[in-house]
Formats: sequence, structure tokens, C-alpha cells
Amino acid sequence: MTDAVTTVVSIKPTALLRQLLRHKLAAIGLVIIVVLALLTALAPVLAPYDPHAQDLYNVLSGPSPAHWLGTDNVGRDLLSRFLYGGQVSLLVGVCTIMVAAVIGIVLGLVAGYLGGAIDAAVMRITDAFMCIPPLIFVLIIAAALGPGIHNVAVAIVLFGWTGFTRIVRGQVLLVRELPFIEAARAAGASPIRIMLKHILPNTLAPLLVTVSLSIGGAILLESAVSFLGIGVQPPTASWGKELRTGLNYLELAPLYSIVPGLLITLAVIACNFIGDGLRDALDPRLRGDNR
Amino acid sequence: MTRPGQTTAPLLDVRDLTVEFRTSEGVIKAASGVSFDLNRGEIVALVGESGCGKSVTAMAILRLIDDPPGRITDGEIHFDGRDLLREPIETIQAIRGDRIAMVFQEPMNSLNPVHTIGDQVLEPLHLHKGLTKSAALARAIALLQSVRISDPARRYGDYPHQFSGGMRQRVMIAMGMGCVPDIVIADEPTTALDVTIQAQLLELLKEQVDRQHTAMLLITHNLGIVARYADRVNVMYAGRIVESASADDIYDRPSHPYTIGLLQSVPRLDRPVTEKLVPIEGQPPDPLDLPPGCPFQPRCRFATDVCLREDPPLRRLDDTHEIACWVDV
Amino acid sequence: MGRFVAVRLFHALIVLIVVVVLVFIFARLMPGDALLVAVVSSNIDVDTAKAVATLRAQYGLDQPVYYQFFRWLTDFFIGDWGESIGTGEDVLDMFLERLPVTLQLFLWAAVWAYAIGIPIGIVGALRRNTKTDMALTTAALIGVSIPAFFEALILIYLLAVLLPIFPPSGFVPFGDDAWGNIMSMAMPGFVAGTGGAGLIARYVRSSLLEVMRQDYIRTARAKGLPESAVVRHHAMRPAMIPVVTVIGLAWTGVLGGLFIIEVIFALPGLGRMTVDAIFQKDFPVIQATLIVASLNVLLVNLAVDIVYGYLDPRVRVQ
Repeated sequence: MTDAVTTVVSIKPTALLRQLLRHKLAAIGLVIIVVLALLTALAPVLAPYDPHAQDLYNVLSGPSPAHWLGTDNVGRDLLSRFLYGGQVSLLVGVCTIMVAAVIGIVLGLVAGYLGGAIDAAVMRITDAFMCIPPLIFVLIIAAALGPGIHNVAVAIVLFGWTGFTRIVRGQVLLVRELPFIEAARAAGASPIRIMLKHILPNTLAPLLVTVSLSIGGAILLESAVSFLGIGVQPPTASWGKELRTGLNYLELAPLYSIVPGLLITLAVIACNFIGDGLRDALDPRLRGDNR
Repeated sequence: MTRPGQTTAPLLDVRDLTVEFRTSEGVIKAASGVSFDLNRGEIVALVGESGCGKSVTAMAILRLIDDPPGRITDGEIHFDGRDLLREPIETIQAIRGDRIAMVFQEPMNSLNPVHTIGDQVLEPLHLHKGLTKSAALARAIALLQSVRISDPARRYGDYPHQFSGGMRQRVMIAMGMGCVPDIVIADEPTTALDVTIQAQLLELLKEQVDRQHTAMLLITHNLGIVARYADRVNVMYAGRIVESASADDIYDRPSHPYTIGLLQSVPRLDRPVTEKLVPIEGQPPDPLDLPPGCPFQPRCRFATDVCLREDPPLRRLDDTHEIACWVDV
Repeated sequence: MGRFVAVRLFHALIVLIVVVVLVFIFARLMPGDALLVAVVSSNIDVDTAKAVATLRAQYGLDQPVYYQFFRWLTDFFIGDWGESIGTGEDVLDMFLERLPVTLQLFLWAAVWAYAIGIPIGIVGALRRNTKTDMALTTAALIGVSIPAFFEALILIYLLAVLLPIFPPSGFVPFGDDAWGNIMSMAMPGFVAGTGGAGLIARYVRSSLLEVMRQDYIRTARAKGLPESAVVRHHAMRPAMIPVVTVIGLAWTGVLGGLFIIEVIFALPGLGRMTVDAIFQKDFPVIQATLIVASLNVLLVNLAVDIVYGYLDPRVRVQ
């Protein structure tokens, strides 16, 4: 991606956090994501009802003191379903990207450092994967593997590694020509050691930005796939799936579809804000490193 | 300030120029109370280490300081009967490139990479002299010729990346001299170039200046260049002018401890080979944390009590020689 | 310049080969026998096993895999894309029939994206860190973050249900009713465009900021150009260069976005066809779509590289 940071940046965690919080939008993003994470993680405590508990006498009722957001088409409490559904949406987003990142980093390191035919092969394969529209890719894999949220997660991972590979490889190409790598090699360090101990830490800057932005992308993908009907199976909830069902009752119970949509949007906005903030915080020029 | 014995007003008269920069760690005074002048046909040098404020001073003349974070907070700059710091920006834009031109240091980037060099040389001609593109074309090619760019008609359509650093700088000179300015400000014009090219370029610049009787403000940290080309020299330190004299006087009778220290730290052909180079002790001051009194005092061999308390103003040693120092060395 | 293009073409060719192999593998991964489904749902009273076997032979599925691959590849190039397993239609015909719809949607989306995105980006850069800039950046980020189906939902609710201005779904061909066509395309086009607008705005802004810091901008000012001319004549062209490359990178996202919008607004385009095919495990259609989409992406990226080489003279030397 043309976003590659063109100089090597060292990261100090506490300084980074402080810098990030100074960036207004990133701070807002951080707050949003923490709130969402807490709400969904504490669903067992916060949810007033069992998300699967049906109440067929109370179908599609609007907001009321008993059901703050109303009920769905079989009488389940929407607030509880959204809280639990958030667990699925957020967890899928985070976990898939973590795994994809690991795969991508390994491939990127290997391709970038070893170069030559290996690099060419890895990059052409990466390019090929990136030719296919992500949504279609994930749909096909998920459809091929069968229904269920786990298969969606696998599908997202199978696509997600490509972005990381590109970014890491780009950084490795920059870093590996630096004198200190030369010195390490002369001192007898093995390629693996060099890759892990010397090169990897210096690729962290753009990596962090990509992770943050990708999590937002993964949340969007999962919700799109669930919206289309593949993915979480009833009776489990996820924000995308609830939105789809809610769409059928748009006039009767607008909250059924609007609230999950809002939640997805907020989560993704937060990830993008944080990603932007990280990018600005890690840009050596904006930090005033060369005055 | 006119000097005693001078009858005409100077071409450019800078008084008490002060430029501040706001940073996340505080306010930096990059230039403070800078005063000097420039006469027609003269070459005046602003000399000093990196960070002493010479480039900032030069940029301030044409109001090229980015605001934020920089701001010109005090001073007057008199040119052609007007105070440039108080004129509307349109007036300054009309002067830029036409009456006062600037030649910058050449990192890769002073020329626009997506336009041909011919178009860039032509631009001030078109802008200020109202020449149509075709009329200006002939003039631009002649300009390229005058800066010794070979085959100028063909190279007119080339892009900056197709030129070497030295040639790009010639283009910059051509661009600057195109409208026959009264003053050309050359900010470290040769610093980024090889030594052999430096000599060529400076000769070229001097030739242009002599031919058109232009005045030149030469910004540099290279004392050798100063010795050869400058008529008068202003030595800057920590945003202030600390010594101002004719070039001869600076070399024969340096009077400010900093200037003396500079000259002693530079090898000279007219001294015995075995004479030791004496570096100036210490580091240039942190602009955010200037020492009390004279900014040079922590590094000065001759510092006295008053130096530690009071910042010395410029005082006359004789008609053409001023220093900012409490001590007579 | 020639060598530049040749190298790019070569890379693209290799990638295409890999894609083709991948596509073949993916499409064949579908479990659940589409043929079985087709036979059973056709309701004809036959011996199911025999009917499936016949169909299998007809589709060449009883041959070894590499034979199938080779056969399919050559067929593809001569224009025989097979028949849809669900409907029996010729796949190429299906494609050509739906292409115009998707193209229209794409055009609308592109117009919206650039018309909104570029000005927002420029204003944001020129008024950096002011309230205007923060508001615009937030708007751009919302545009990028909001799921297409949610934005569609809101717009449909507001502009088709509450205030019945636009049709909530459906497509009217231009030939039938020009105004109806525009009305039916307005909302889908806008939704498709906003994501792109956000992306473009962000890239334009950061690129312009980067360019404005360059030394040659200072040189331009020193020549006496008024600030508007400095931006217009010296900053815009270098600034647009990265924006062009962004198009290439984001292209797959653009396509995916188009597809889902067709589903939401019930537009009879390629996207709808593909999604339906995935659900029905109709692999000739899936294969064809994947190839075309990937080819499209490759061509766009190639075009971007070439345009980039044209815009930035420095790149041509490579």
C-alpha cells in the first residue's frame, strides 16, 4: 500500500498512548471502542433477559420500560440480543485480524527478507488473492465451507492476511538495507534471529495502523456476510444478522434495524479514528522529529 | 541604518527584525533584533552555524515564513521607500521574483518535478513582465544559455530529475535572475553540491550579479566563500548579529569572541601548517533555553560579570565595524 | 515508457494465471451437489441417480480435474462460458444482459465519489486543523465506515418510505423511461459513491498536505505567484498522483460494494447474479464472475500504473 511509512520509527508504548490521546478523533475512537467492548463483554451481567427467551405474546413491541429497545419478531428482548450479538461481531473482527496478521507478518518477513523467487512467488499469490473483491471472496469460502460463524471467520482470515503481507514486506525491504542489519549479519546472527529480533520491531509502526483499520474492515465484512444470510445461524445474534431481520419490519419496529446498524457504524468509525490517530502519531514528521 | 559618510539610502534596510516560532515545547526566537543593510551592487554575507537564524532572516524579507508556526513579531524592512512587513501580501507577491529574487539550497526538491524546467524558468517572466509564453520562450532559452546549460533549446523540455544537482542549481539561478531583480538572496546556494561544482556555481552567480549590478545577500556557513565573494559580512549567533564589518576587517581584525573562535577553528593557507586548530568549546545554545545575558557567554573565554547578566547591544568599533560584546578583545 | 509497461504486463499475466487456478479451486470447493439440487427441483419424475450421472457427463464433471481445467480455460477464451446450473441459460448471455446495469451503477458511483471526495479533500487540506477540517474529516470517515446496507436502509427509510421521493428498489432501463432510470439509480449510486468519496477525500487531503510542505512550493511562492495559483498550478498535479494509485488499490472494494448494493436495491446487475449464484452453488456463473472481476481489477491496476507513469515523469525512468 502506498501508505508505507518511509522511515523507520521506534515506538515507546506510553509515549504513543499519550500522543494518541492528544489526537482528538483518536481519543473519541478509543472511548467508543472501549465502551462497546465493555458493554458486550459484560452482556451476561447487563442484559436484562436471556437473548433466546421468546415471548410470543409480546412480538415486535416498541420501546417500553420492560424492553428498552423493544422486542423482535418472536418476542426476544432486542437490547439483550444486541448486547450478546456485539460479542460475536466484535470478537470475529478482532480474532480474525489477529490470526491474519500473524500469517501475513510471517509471509511478509520471509518474502521481504529472502527476496528472489520466494518473494516473487509470494507477491504474485498475494496479488492474485487481492484481485478478488473481498465480499465475494468471503461469501464463496463461507458458502463452500457451510453455514456458521466459524466458517465466516476462516474466510475472513483467508483473505485478511494479504494486506499485512504487503505492508510488512514493504517495510522489510526498507529496513533490511540499513547498516545495523548488515552489522547483525556480520556478527553471525541467523536469518530467523535477524527477522524476529531486528526487522520485525521496526515494522511495527505501519503494522499497528493496519491492524486497527483492518479490524474495522473485518467487522464490516462479517456484518455484510451475516446480512446476506450466511454466517451466524439462528438463534445466535450478530449485529449484521439482526439488521437483516429488522429490515423486514422497518415500519413496525424501526429500532430493530437502526440500532444494530448504528452499532456497527460506531465500531467501524472507532477503528478508523484510532487507525488515523496511530498513523499521525507514528508519522515521524508530524512528531517533529526533524525540525 | 546609513553608515557615517554614506550619502544615499541603502537598497534594503532591515531593522530590529524578530521572528518567533511556536512549538509544542515553547516559543523559539529564531531571529531577535536583527539589523543590517544592503546597498546596490554589494554582496553582503550572513554567516553562522546551522540554527543561528540566518535562513529565517532571509526568508522573512520576502515574508516566506510559514504562519503557523512562525511569525514575524517585530521590526521593519525598508525597500524602495516601503516597509515590506507592513505592505499587503499582493505587493510582496509583485516584488517576489521580480525586484527581489531568492535562490534556494538545492535538496532534490526545490524545482517542481512534474513541470519542465523550461516552464519553471519562464514562469516569473510571464508573471511579472507580462510576456506571452512564446515571447518569454526566447528569453528563457537565453537565460539557460547564460547559466551555461548546454543545448538549452532541447533541454528546455526536460524535467528536473533529468538534471544533476549542479545543473538544477544553475536553473534556479536562471529563474532568479530572469526578471533582472534589484536584490538576489542566495540561501546556501552551494551547500548541497560537490566542492568542485561549488566553485563554478559561485563564479556564475558573481558574474550574473556583476553584469546586472544586482545586490546579493549571501547566506552561508562557509567562511571560505565569504572571504572570496563578500564585500561585507554579518556574523550571526543565536538569532542575533554579533559582528558586522567589511570582509577584510572580519578576517584581519575579528573583534567578537565568536568570530575569533570561528576563524581559529578553520584551516588557513596564510598560516603555518603546524598551527593548531582551536575549536570553540561547548555547544550552540538550546533556543528554548537561552542562557542569561549574552547568548555566547557559556562558551566565551573572555566573559565577564556583565556578560552573564546583560545581553550586549551592537556598538560601533569604527565607521564600518560593529560588534555586540561588552568586552574589547 | 515501453519497458515500464512491458514489465507491468508480465506481472499482470502471472497474477492472472494464479487467479485462474484459484478461481477454479474455489468454485469446485462447493460442497452440496448443485446438479442434485437441479435435478430434484426440476420435479421431473426420473431416476435421480441416472439423471445426475447424465448431467454430470454433460457438464464434463466426470473427467479428471486437470482435463476439466484445461477444457474450461479454452472454452472461456472462445466465449463459451457454459450454462448456469440453475437456469440453464448461457452464462455469457447472462453476463452481457446484466452488464449495463452494473456499469450504470458504477458510473453514478464514480461521479458521486469524485464530485464529493475531491473538494472535501482539498478544503480539508487547505484549512488544516480548523473546525472545518475536523468536521470534513469526520464526514469522510463516516462515509468510509458506514456499512452500505445501513446507509441504504436509512436513505430508503427517509427518501422512499417516509417521503416517497425515490423508488425503494428496482431498476428501470434507460431506454424505457429516462427519468425513471435516473430516479431508480439515484439512491444506489449515491450509496455506492459515498464510500469511495470518503476514501478519496482522505487521500486527497493527506496528499495535498504532503505536497504543500515541499520545497518547490516555497520556490513557487518566492517567484511571486499568488497563493491560489501556487495551489492550482504547482500543488494539484503532484498531489493527485497518489490519489490515482488509490483507485487501483481500492478497486476490489469498489466492486464488492457495487455487488451488495445491487442486492439491497434489487437491481438486476452482475452483483445480484453473483450473489444468487453463490447461494445456489452455480459454479459456472461463479467462475465466470470471478475471472471477469479479477481481470477487471488487473486491468484497472495496470491502467493506474500507466497513468501514474504519465503523470509523474520520475517514475518512467524505472
